[in-house]
Amino acid sequence: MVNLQQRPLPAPGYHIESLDGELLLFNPASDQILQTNQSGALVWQLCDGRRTIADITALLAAAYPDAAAAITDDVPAILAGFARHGAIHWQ
Amino acid sequence: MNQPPLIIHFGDQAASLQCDDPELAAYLSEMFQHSLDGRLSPRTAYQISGPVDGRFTLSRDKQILQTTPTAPALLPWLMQDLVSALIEAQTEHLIFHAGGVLVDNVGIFLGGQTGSGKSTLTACLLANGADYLSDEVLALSPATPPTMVGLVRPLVLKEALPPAWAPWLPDPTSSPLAAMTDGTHWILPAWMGAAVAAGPVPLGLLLFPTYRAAAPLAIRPLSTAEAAFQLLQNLVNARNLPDKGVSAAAEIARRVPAYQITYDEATAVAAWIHDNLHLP
Repeated sequence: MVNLQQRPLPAPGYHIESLDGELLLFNPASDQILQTNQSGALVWQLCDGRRTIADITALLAAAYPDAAAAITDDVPAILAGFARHGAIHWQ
Repeated sequence: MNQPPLIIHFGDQAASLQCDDPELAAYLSEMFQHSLDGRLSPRTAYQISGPVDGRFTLSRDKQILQTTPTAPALLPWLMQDLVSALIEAQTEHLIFHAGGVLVDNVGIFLGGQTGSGKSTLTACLLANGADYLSDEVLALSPATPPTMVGLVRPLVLKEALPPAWAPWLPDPTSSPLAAMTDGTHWILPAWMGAAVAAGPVPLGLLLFPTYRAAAPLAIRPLSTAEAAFQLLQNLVNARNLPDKGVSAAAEIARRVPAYQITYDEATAVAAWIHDNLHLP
């Protein structure tokens, strides 16, 4: 069960390569490389340790109202993917 | 009398190879003819010597790597170690586990892990007129435009003659395959009638093929980030490069179109390449 009040914070040490709105997230210490699509890139950029999952979802839903329903599902899934790879920590 | 050593180079590295057996030395000269260059100082020295007490010896920098009853039995050991020695210290290029061919002066990168069908696709493209760069290792430079060089070696098959290859070979019954003691079979590209593109060629297309039996041909353009990610999965000298090669791979991905291909028939991929190579 996702706790929408959790606050995702990028793990330290990741370098970011922006490519046409998508991202490569690279951690030289662990050699971990992640690739995100544009949705993932937007979510990553909103992770600051202060915003909750609900805050991020609301911000993106307001910015893209036509996709609000999908955003509600996608944001927790994207963050779960980041967390599974150790790219974010929960505050 | 000792044969003079071959100086084999790839990218910014070179190795010397001396072989006392005249017949094997001639084969090695033919095998590496497109990679011989005495301008670089060899960093590693290989020697095949013998027989002594009925055994031949492969050594690297005077350290014995392997002994076998025949000199040709040393070839798989030599190839594996030599390729590693040539790529592990590369600092000026991005080295990829990938095949490469040249079609109409466009360099085509074929990325993918072992078993993805790179060699089969490479062979099919050679049969359709492509020039050969490599079936295993490519060096890319993120220059403007990006270029690539192949580590030219025989095509290596895991089985004697895959049935799909038969139409692409000039005479499948003549059995020119060099059967190695590790179970692999080697084909010199010249026997397939293929020319070799030995120098840097312009990199024009990044393909990431996957062979899947009975699958329909599926071709999907990759985004820049997807292409960079795929490149990085096949990069073998990341530790020698600034930021582990991420920026350079991204630069290549920005400039070169990339596709993911799932295929069953290599000829269908060759036809797609022919039809799409020069489209804007």
